[in-house]
Formats: sequence, structure tokens, C-alpha cells
Amino acid sequence: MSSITIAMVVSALVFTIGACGVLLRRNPLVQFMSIELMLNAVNLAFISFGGANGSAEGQVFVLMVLTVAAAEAVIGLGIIVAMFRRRRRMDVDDIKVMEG
Amino acid sequence: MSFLTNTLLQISTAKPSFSGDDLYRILPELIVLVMAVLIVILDLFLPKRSRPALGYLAIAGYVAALVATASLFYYGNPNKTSFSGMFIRDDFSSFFEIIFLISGILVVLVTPSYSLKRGIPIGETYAIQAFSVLGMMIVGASGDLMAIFVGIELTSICSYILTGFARNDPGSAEGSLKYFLLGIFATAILVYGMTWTFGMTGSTNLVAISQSIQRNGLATDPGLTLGMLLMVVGFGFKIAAVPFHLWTPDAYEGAPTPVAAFMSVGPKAAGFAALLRVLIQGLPELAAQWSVIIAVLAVLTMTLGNVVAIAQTSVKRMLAYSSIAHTGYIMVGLAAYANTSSPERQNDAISSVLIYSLIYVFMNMGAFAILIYVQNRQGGPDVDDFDGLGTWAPGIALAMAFCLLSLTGIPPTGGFLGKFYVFRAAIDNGYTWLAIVGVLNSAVSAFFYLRIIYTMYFNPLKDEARAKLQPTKTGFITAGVVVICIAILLLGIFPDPALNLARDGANPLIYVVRATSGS
Repeated sequence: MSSITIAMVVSALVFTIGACGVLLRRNPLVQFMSIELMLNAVNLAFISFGGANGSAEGQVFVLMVLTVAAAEAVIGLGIIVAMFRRRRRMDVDDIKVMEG
Repeated sequence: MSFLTNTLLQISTAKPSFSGDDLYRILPELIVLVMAVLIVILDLFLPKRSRPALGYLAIAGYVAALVATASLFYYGNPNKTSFSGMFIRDDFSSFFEIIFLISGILVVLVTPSYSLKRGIPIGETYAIQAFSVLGMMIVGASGDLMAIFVGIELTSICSYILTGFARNDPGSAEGSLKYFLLGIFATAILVYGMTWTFGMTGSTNLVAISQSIQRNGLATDPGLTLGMLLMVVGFGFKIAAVPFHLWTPDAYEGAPTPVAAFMSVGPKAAGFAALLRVLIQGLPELAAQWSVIIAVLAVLTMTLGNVVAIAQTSVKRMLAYSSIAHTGYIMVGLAAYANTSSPERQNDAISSVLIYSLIYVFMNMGAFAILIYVQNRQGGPDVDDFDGLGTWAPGIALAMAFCLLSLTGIPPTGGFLGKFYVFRAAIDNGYTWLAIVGVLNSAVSAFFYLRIIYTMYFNPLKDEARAKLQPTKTGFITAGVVVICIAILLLGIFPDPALNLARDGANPLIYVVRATSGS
């Protein structure tokens, strides 16, 4: 197997693990970490595709993804803390003021 | 090692691509950016009671950006790119910037009476709204997956914050958390799709992508199809297409009403701008594949949105589902694009999407503005709260009836013309069944829109409810509603100027596609 294939298989695996984490776990913090895992799988794929294509765009894109992920972490943790202050317990199944 | 030198070589030989002209092309964006930063700074120093005056600054900024956009309209052709092709100044970007700026102005008009009454910080609201508008403008004008990604994220992150802004309302934090988790999940899927597109074509520039697909015969490549599918899913979340709509009702219901109004028009239009750029400019060779997907999603979106809206007792939630349904109507126009190769027909399809997005901004913002008024007076967003609106606020009731008729699609309103253009494009391009589904759905939607009109005029206001009516400041909302009603009426009976703008706005995409297929 060429190195690009290996990298893509690893990246697809990590992405799938992250997606499963989002769908199966019920704690918003863990779900958020799983999404970070998916974004890192994306980064790995960008780096290896960029290497295979011999272009710098893949690496620049990774920097963008990292920056956006950092911004999302700030907002996301803020929202989760706001929720936690109100309830003292975190489980997405409890979030049901609104239904329908 | 050779890769590293390669990269370094590329960077060092890239031609310098920054000039004063680059800055001139992003003038509207710069104005909005400066305005937003000014609001942030002034908000820190102004005493609390004079902070609402920041709204005037926001409106002045948006109007200045509108003037700049209008002066740039017809300035660009597809070659007028800034920052190495990251940013495209053409009539398409100008048209979408007009849509975003108008929604920015309208949301500033409807925000203060609601936010001041509920103690939501007003200066920050204006600033974050402005940053969100900036993100949308970047999306509309981007010629590169990277710029689209950054723009979409700027818009979304601002929306997450705005949704959670009502600190005292438990629904607000909850809606915000749901929106946030599903939103960044969608982002991860979107950017994974971009990875595959980049990996298969070797570029993130949209024009270079379509050229590479043509040159290397990648149209049926499974990797590229995967990339396209993932990107459609990601954008589907942003525009709230079924089955990716799950966050929409909760986020809209939890969000402060002006924010819900903003989210239902701005970020949605930005999602459509991104879809049009990526699918038509970047992946025209895959049109046969994505057209079918978009058509199926359109049917699901229209049908579910309208059917579930019937069952809602809260007008806010009803408008959330109705906004999902309208996403479906707009997608009909997008699907219609792919079924034809004649440039005129393609222009019909794209311009129908553009004109519908514009009309939708006015009519949906109008309905939400009046919902805000009723919430201020009555306290709740339920259908019952509209009881007898025709007697205790006749002017407002008339405007609401007008907006609802427009949302239903009844002439002589703008909503009728929007639907007419979208469905005509579908019929002309061989999607007659899609148009039929759309018309049937419009008939279903009449049920829940007209129910509110019935409530306003035929249900009397109970005496105890009349005693509890609260006073509210109406100046800004009235101004907004008047502007909206005039715009809907003008678009309905005298649509030619707007339609011509939309046709010119659609041209750059077709021009680029033809130029690449010609080479």
C-alpha cells in the first residue's frame, strides 16, 4: 500500500470513530470532543492529499480548519458552561424544554 | 524533502497578487468590518442607556456598504478576482451582498424593542449580527473552497452565539446547544467533502476544480462523487433541508425572535450562495448526479416543512417549519439548472433562485417582525396571541395578512412571482413533476398561513387578555414593516428591475461554466 492510501484509510477510520461518538454518546462535552476528532481526521486527509498533489493549498487549509476549530471550542464551551450552571448535570437527553 | 522544496518553490514563484484594486473590490466587506469593530469598541465606552443608538451606526454602515455594492455592480466580470482567486467580484456576489445587507438592515430595525424589553445586551447583538453579515458576504463572493469554509463558519459561529443570547430563557441555551452541536457536526462533514474534492482535483479554487475535472475526465470518479455528496450534506444543514433540518425548529424557538428572523433569511441565503458557487461553478460536470439529489431533497423539504407546520400551535415554530418549506421551493430552481444546456434556460433557473431568495428575505422578515410586535404586546408567540389583532392593531394586522399571503404565493405579492419563476424554470427544464409537487405544497401551506389571518380577523380578543396588553415601542418595527410591505408589493406588481438584476447576477456563473467547457 502506498503511503497516501494508508493515510486516507487512517483518516477515514478516525472520521468514522468521531461520527459514531457524536451519534452514540450522550454527554455534550464528549460529543464535542468527537467532532474535534472528525476535524483532525480532515486535517490528516488534507495534509496527505496536499502531499500527493504537491500543492501547498492542503496545508493552508489545515491552518484554517485549526483556527475555526479553536473558535468553535470557545463558543461551544461557553454554551456548555451556561447549560451546566443551570442544571448541574449534563446529558443531551435532559434537554427537552422544547419538543414537537 | 522534494515535496518541501516543491512547496517552497511554489510559494516563492507565486506572482505577487495584492494591489489597491484588490481592496477596492472588497470595499463593501471592509465597510461592514469597520462598522462591526466600531460597534464593539463604542459599546464598551457608551453608558448603558445610550447603547441603543448604536443601531443608527449599524444602519449607516449597512447603507454605506449597500451604496458601495451598487457602485461595484456591473464593475466585475469573472476575471476580476482578488487575493489569488480567493475572492470574486462579479454580479453574482454583488446581488447576494445586496440580499445580505438588506437582511442586516431589517434585523437592526426589528431587534431593539424585543431585546431592550428582555434585557438582552443590544450593542453586542448588533456587532455579532454585523460579523455574521460579513461572513455571508465572504461566502457569496468566494471563488475558493477555503474562503467558502471560512465565510460559512464566521456566519454559523455568530448564529450560535446569537441563539444563546437570551440568558434568562432556558430555551435559549438549549436551542443554542442543539444548534451548535449539529452545526459543527455538519461543518466536519462539509470540510471532509472539501478534502476529497481537493484530493481528487488537486486544487481548492472552484474554476481550477472544474477545469481539472474536465481535463482528467473525473466526472464519474467515486472519490469526487463522495466529496460532492458530503458537501451537499454539509450545506444541507446550513440551509435546513430535510433530512438535515433537525436543529431548525428548536434553534428558532429557543432563539430570541429577532435572531430567529435573521437566521431564517441570512445564513440560509448564504448557504444557497455557497451551493450555487460550488455546484455550478466548481462541479458542473457532475450536474447529472447532483441534480437528482437536489430534486429529491427539494421534495422531502417542501413536503415535510408544510405538513408539520400545520400541526404547530406556536407561530414561531410554525414559521420555522415554513422556512424549511421555502428552502424546498428554492431548491427546485437549483435542481432545474442541471437539466438543460441552453444558457438562457440555465439563466432562468439560477435567476429564479436569486429572485426568490430576495423576495423571501422581505416576506419572512415581515412575518417575524409582526410576531415580535405581538410578543411584545401579548407576551407569547402562540396562534391564540393573534386573537383579534385586526381590532387592536389594524395596521399591523393588515401588514401581517399581506406577508402571509405573500408567503402562500398569492398575487399580486412578490411571493407569487418568486414561486412562478422557480416553478416555470422547473417546467421549462423537464422537471414538471417537481413543479407539480411544489404547487400542491403551496396549496397545503395556504392552510396554516390563512389560519392566522382568520384568527386575526374573526377571533375576538378576550377581555382579560385585553387588560393585560403591554405597551411597546413601535417606531423601528413600524418603519421596518412599512419598508417590507412596499418592497413586497413592488416586487409583486413591478418586478422587472429586480428580475433584471437577478438575471445579471446569474450570468457570471454561466459564463464561467461556458468558458471552462470551451477550453
